Amino acid sequence: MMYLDLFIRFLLIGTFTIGGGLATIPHLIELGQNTGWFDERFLMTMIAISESTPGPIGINMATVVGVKIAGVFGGIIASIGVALSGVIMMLLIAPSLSKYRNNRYVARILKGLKPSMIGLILSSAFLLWRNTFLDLSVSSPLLIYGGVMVVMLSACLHFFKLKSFQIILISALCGWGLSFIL
Amino acid sequence: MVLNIFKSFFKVGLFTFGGGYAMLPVLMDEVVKKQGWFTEDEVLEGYAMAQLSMGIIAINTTTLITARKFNARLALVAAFATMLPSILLLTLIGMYLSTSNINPTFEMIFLSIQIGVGVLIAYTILGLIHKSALNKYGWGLLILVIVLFLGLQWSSLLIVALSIALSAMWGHKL
Repeated sequence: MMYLDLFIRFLLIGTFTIGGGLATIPHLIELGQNTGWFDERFLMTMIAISESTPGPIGINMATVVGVKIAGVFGGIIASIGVALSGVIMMLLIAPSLSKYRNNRYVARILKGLKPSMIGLILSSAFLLWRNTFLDLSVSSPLLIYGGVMVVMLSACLHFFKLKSFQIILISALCGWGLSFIL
Repeated sequence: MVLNIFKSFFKVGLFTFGGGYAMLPVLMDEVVKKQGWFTEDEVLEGYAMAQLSMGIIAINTTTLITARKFNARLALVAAFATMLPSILLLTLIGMYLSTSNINPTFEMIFLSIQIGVGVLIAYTILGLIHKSALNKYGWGLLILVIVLFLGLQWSSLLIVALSIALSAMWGHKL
């Protein structure tokens, strides 16, 4: 029953995920809240791992969350669940792709989904940022460290065009260095 | 053919770092340049449609282009092959994480990674906002979604369903 529950939840998440890995985050936050299977801190670590390992981010997150909840088999079930509705939809539209691309309603929905997905991702990002801030605010040296990191990492991203796994690697190294000081 | 498809898409899954957007150049290299199964346009068209559909972009792209060119059976093989490296690798990591103890060093590392991910997400969101050039209706919908999710605690699934319904009616104004 655990496996079935897991499968259905991830099938739903996949069905309502439009626009890639980040769009699964609001659904995953909700899954954690509703089931108590994991908290937002765990999710943040999972996002970091999923962004810095090869493969589609959505599959990576589903696997690692599935393993946490129900072991090796859980990881496989969650991954298949999250991808399944997209795969079925692709198989259905493949024979007459151009017909769907030019459909009036499809075009409207695609336009309207963009702002709403950004809104959802922004809202869930806010929840994650708030958690990190609360973790940092236990002491003022930590808060200063956090501020410096945000500025430095933004510069690395914007001016030096570093890739996401490089950003995560730098963060991890800084954290390792910090553990010797504090 | 089945084996070749499997091998190629397994490679694509293994060498894609950073999700759907990073997958395109890797995919082009393997299935257009090296194998010559698809033209560049076919991959781009599949990618465009896959991005706009439910599910995982990379898996959708793989499924769609293979189903159009070959058949549904090979498309399923390709989809599974793209997923497999992730499943194998992340299962190992997931198992390690659920057995390891969190010590103070780990705590600092994870906290710092959280900051890094926070910055990455912020940067991605700014990029998305910049790229989509929203008008007043677009911003209205964006703010409505934030109010529903954070303020009224609506389910994210319900919000996506509502957005689909709203944009089917008024999407052309956005």
